[in-house]
Amino acid sequence: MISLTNVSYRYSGSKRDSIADFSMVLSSGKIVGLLGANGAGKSTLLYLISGLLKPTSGIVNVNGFNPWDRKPEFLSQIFLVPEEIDVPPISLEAYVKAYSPFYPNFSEESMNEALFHFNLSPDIHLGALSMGQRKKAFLAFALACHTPVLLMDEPTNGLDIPGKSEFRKAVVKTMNDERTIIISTHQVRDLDQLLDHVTIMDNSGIQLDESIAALQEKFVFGLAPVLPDNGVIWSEPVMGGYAYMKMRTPDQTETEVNLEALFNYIYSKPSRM
Amino acid sequence: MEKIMQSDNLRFSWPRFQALMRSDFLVNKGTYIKLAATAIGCFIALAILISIIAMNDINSFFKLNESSFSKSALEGLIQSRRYSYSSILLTLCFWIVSIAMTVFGSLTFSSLSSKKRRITTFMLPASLSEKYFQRMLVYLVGGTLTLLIGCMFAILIAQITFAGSAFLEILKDWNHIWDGESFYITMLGCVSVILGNAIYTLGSSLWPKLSWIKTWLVVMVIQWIGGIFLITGLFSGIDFAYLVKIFDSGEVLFWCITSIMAIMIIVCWYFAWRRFHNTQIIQRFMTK
Repeated sequence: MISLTNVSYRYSGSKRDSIADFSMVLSSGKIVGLLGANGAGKSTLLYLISGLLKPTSGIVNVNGFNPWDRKPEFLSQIFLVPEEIDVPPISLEAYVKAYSPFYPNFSEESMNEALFHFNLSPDIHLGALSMGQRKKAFLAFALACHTPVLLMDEPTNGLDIPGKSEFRKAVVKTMNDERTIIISTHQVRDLDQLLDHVTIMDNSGIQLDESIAALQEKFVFGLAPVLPDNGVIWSEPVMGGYAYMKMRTPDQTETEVNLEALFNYIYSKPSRM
Repeated sequence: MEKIMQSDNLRFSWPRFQALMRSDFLVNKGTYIKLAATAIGCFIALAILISIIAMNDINSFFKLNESSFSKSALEGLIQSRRYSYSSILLTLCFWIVSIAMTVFGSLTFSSLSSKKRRITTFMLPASLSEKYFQRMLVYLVGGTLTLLIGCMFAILIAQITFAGSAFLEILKDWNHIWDGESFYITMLGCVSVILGNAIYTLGSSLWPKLSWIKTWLVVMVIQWIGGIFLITGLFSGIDFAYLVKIFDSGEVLFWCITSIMAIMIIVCWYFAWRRFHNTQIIQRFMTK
């Protein structure tokens, strides 16, 4: 379980808190989408959870550990995929040999499977790969470590279109009830049909913290050539008509959550949830 | 693999430390080889240069008219030149060691030089003390060993080319270091080299990027302030000679200076550790 209680963080030299009085509880077995505009504090939140930043105030607890203690037992249970990765110019085999001993649940089989999904061979040299391919190899390693907590900061940045789709498949494949995956992104379309839970945040804190199931129960998302007459709470002109969002009535069937519509709805008027 | 993570020791685990060393060498092998090759290459280049100069000089003695000099006088002259060039070589080797140790010190926390690298360093499942000692082992111990190997290469080249029995003579003279003034100078030299390394190690923890230049500038500023203080003190009538005289002997003075330097080394290492321990991912100077 991951819990943050009244957590604030202010970067030195900054006049305002990057994260102010932030509280959140996440249970295991979920893929959580952490959505927000640039500068909303998504990366800061991930760094606080992974112990890379020390909160100015408040308590962060990850599976019973205080992340800032940076204990090896804690670090072996968490993996962070940063937005920009640091991959040395060595063979993937040497990379795995160097780092896998630190992760007790590392599975070579999972690694090879993920590499296969990403259309990469296990005998590649990381120095000879493009940025996107390096990211794929790194993601394959991150998923294969099977850490109970996996944090990903803009993981789809730099991935090609098939790569994004393969990424979603690979994440689902390594998911289990003991694992929590937090994916921070502002490219909400990349996470379509992947998430169990959505947290939308801005500078003033959490604007939405709901499970996908609850959102499907509350709202109807649709696309129509003409905007429906009633009940529309948000709409946007798109190719071929309008993307819209309505409050759901009990007689209406549930629809897939349109994350982009939801995000824009929340951001167009914060605190409406 | 299980052994590594099952250790109860949160602070320091030998199997984990070994894994950390292994992974560091697998990843940074190329960098370390280049660094060691450059350091050793400097010694070899220096030895070759001195050898060329020494051999030209010594050969010129052989051209002298033997009628003007007795054979033994000529041999004495040649031997004294061999001794001089060997001493020069050793002195220059010492200077290379001194400078290289500051460079190695400034590289100690190079793994914190960018946000990406800080994430890799701090997210690796090993304790901070293991990571700290691993860096120290590579750059302090490994660096010292590399430089000693470089010195040995330089001596070997000189031995092959010009030195003859000069190094043996120097070694004989060094026998007196244990009971003479040379001992204090040698000891002070060694402590100074380690202090230089420790200061630049601290600098590396404070400014992992362009660490050597930044630390050098700060050291220069401190030296200037110290110099101004000294001059101001002299003009305001402080009797520094008296301050030196209050020590019973040169030996006491030496031990006092050495102790102060040893304390400074420990202080530098301690603050480097504190800084490393408190470093956050967003690196700003003196981030609390």
